[in-house]
Amino acid sequence: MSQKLILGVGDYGVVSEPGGVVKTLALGSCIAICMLDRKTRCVGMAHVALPDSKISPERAKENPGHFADTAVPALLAEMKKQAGSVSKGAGLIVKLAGGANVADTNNTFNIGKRNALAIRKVLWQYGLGAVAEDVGGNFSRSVAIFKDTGKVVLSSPGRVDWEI
Amino acid sequence: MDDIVNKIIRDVKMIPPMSRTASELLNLTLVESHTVDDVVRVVASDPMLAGQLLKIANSATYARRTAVDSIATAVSYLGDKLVVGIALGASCACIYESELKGYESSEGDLWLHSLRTAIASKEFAKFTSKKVDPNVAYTAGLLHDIGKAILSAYLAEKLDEVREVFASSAPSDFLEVEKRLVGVDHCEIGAILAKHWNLPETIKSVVRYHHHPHEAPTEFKPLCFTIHLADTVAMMAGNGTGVDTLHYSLDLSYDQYIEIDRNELDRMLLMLGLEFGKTASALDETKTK
Repeated sequence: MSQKLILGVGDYGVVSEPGGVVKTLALGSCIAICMLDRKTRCVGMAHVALPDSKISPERAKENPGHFADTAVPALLAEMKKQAGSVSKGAGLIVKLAGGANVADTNNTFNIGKRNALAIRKVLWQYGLGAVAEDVGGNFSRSVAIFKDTGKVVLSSPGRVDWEI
Repeated sequence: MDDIVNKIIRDVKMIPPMSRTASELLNLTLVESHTVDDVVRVVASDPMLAGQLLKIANSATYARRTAVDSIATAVSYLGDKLVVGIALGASCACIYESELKGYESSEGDLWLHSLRTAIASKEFAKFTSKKVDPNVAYTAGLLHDIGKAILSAYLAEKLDEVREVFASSAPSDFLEVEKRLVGVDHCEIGAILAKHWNLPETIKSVVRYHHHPHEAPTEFKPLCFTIHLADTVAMMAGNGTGVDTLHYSLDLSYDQYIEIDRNELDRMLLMLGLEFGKTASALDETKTK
């Protein structure tokens, strides 16, 4: 049977077998970081809920996928573990989806936007950048990344599925 | 359109009353001075509920070393808020467990959304400048969306039109979509159901104004804003009720009633996620299948 991972909040996972898929359901302000390694053809995803692990280092240790700053290194390490190596720079395709945003002039409840900014910053620190983003807006998204095709497919209630 | 609205109102009146236990527990926990003993007394009068509470308190999720064998221990272990939640969930299963076809939402989604909103409400209550009782906030959070269960069937008949709305542009206030297609929104219908169930004014007000809390009567504004924020974060956390999820605006005057900064909010959301996860899993594990 092919690998099928369904990630909960703060989870991350990688699939390397043919037919594998990583999915996460109903992202609101959370963001799915999707990665595809061009060389090893491994695909992975992290379901990030909050921007900064400083609010709870204990939680970050237990569940690094929860925060932007700990999710990126954790996912990269898992890609390397599963495939023996992980590509750098343009060899690693990164896509972001989710981060539905609530407009708040107080800059407090706009968690989607804060998550997106934090993830972009951390990716940049690792010499990475997203080639595609479907981030923001006021709707929830489910996301899947397929090992065989490398496609990232999104769905949302009331909409036709789409790809980024 | 008026005919439909009248039909919906007639439908509401056909909804069975809340069980005596649920209603007594609800009213009891709205009184700040209530004690655990008061709650235990009401629970003890309902063997079905008592059994369910014992089962949940002893569930693997809570992984206690010693078995919970008395109603009093179960109540104090689970906490009176969750006890009310369990009683309401059981008594109003026709509301909470319905499929919400008109919102393209699955069975049980409304319950999970209500539970997450309830837990968030009690947390936001701690940040209110004019004190809001966390118990009241929790109960109000559980009940805020009851109108959706009724409106859903009517919205389901207009599903093609709902999809057309989304195809042109994502609505910023789904209440307007409900009003345009059915003639009435889930807040108005919920308030009628709240009246039918003889719920107190505080709760009725939350049901009616949780999307536009500035329109609530002054005395209920702090509570309505509390539930407004809780509802918003429940949707942001991925516990919405389908097609309407996140298609509402944040009422920016919340900062007059709730003082919370970015770090406090992030910390609260983290704790909320853990508490919700645990509660939802304990309830799911002990569900009578």
